[in-house]
Amino acid sequence: MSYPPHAGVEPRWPIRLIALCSAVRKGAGSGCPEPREELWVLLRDSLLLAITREAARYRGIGREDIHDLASAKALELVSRAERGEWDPTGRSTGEVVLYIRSTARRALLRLMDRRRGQTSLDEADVEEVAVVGRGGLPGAPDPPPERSAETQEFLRGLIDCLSRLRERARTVWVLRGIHDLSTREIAAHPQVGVSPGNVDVILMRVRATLRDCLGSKGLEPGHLPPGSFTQIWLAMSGLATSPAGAVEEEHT
Amino acid sequence: MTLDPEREPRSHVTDDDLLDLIHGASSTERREEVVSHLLGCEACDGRFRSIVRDHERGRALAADALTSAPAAAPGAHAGAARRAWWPRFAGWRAPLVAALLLTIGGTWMLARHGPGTDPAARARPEWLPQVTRWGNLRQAAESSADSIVLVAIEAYERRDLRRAESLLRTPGAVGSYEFLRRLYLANTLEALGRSEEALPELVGMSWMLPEPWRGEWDWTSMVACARSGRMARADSLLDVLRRRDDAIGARARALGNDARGGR
Repeated sequence: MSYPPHAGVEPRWPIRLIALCSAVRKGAGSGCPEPREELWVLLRDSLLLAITREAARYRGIGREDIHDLASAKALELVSRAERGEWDPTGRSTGEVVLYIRSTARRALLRLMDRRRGQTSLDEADVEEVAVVGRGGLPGAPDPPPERSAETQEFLRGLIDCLSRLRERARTVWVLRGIHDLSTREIAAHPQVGVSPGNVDVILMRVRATLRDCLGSKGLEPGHLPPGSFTQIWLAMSGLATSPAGAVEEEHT
Repeated sequence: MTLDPEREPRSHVTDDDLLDLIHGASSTERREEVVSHLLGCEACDGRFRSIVRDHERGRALAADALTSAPAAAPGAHAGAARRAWWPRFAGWRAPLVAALLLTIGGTWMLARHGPGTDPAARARPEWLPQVTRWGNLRQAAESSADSIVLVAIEAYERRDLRRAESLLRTPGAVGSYEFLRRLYLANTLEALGRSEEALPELVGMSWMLPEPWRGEWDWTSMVACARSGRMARADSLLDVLRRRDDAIGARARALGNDARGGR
């Protein structure tokens, strides 16, 4: 395992965020959903991480609270960006990161205020962390896992079987089998865009296809081995279009 | 930038690295470094998976979430027009904002918790069978902790769930009684709508329980997984339950046939 040096490496997602804010402001009222959705997703992702980190200092904050806070705050920021009330243009990446993190912190403190009776750590004890390069887990890293040949064979087989699926069917399976999204969420995903009923039919067919495909390789369907997600993610990222010989039919 | 482990402090990838990677914002060089680390680090791979899952869920929710907050009108950001009418409504700001947030919140909750079509998501918690059906349970109690489990089950059967929960929170039972305590506690928490809290109670070897408790353990697990968004695990459990040749299997099959087959 190699250790990426991150001291001094500035995050680059704030650059994308600034560009999206500008696009959303210019396109306000145009009816074009893409930059708004992308901005909301990026804001939500960054707020989720910031709130999760901050919430570790408090008791009584659940996962659902964190998701609700991040989603609502992201929505508020998108609206403010559209109205020109929030414009990060000209800000440094560090300033954008700091803004997101202080927004997350304020949102969390307001939630805690509403929940009187819940115990929180003394705010004065909450340490301020550096803007850039944080988030890494310090100290001795885990040793590289000794993945068995069996695990690697399973992963190779699974990736090969997935690569034979049509893109939408593959996406549906990944969203359910790896990310645990509900049928409703999968149906609403921009890469899927079918009815919930259709998602269930696609899933049923994909499972049967995968079971047959893995079986033909002498493999049994099973849970994804720990530490193997990145391999699947990389493989799926590289499979942008459906192969000519796709074996799975998804028509209903 | 070159990787020099001798000079650089050893650390894992940062949240910012992972955000950059997911949003395609990393430089080529940095992407290679981060991916190389992820491939060899089980802990970071797990964090990455969790962040990608939240990201994909966000993508799925984006359209609904933004529909509840319509795009600003053209020129709204220019300020002049807004300044002309906004002061007139200054006194209404707080109620307007509150109403907007309530609307957004309501739509958001509906989008998240509304009925879906997953067979597992259609499953409902079931009351556990009367304990009297299980023969010599009382005679088999060996300790005061076992007896507390029995008192808790009596409270459960009276549907006094708060008392049942508080009694079932007392550990110390042994063997099958301990698994029974966890099953009843999980089922009680399910009935109280607290699936996330129920799940940790259902980890372990349910084979220590006789039937029908073992099947009820799997059913309770399946419902808890589905209600807490762990749909892949719920599907797998539902698949197992469907193969049972008893009332629990029939209950599972009655949910529909559109999730046949494991992951």
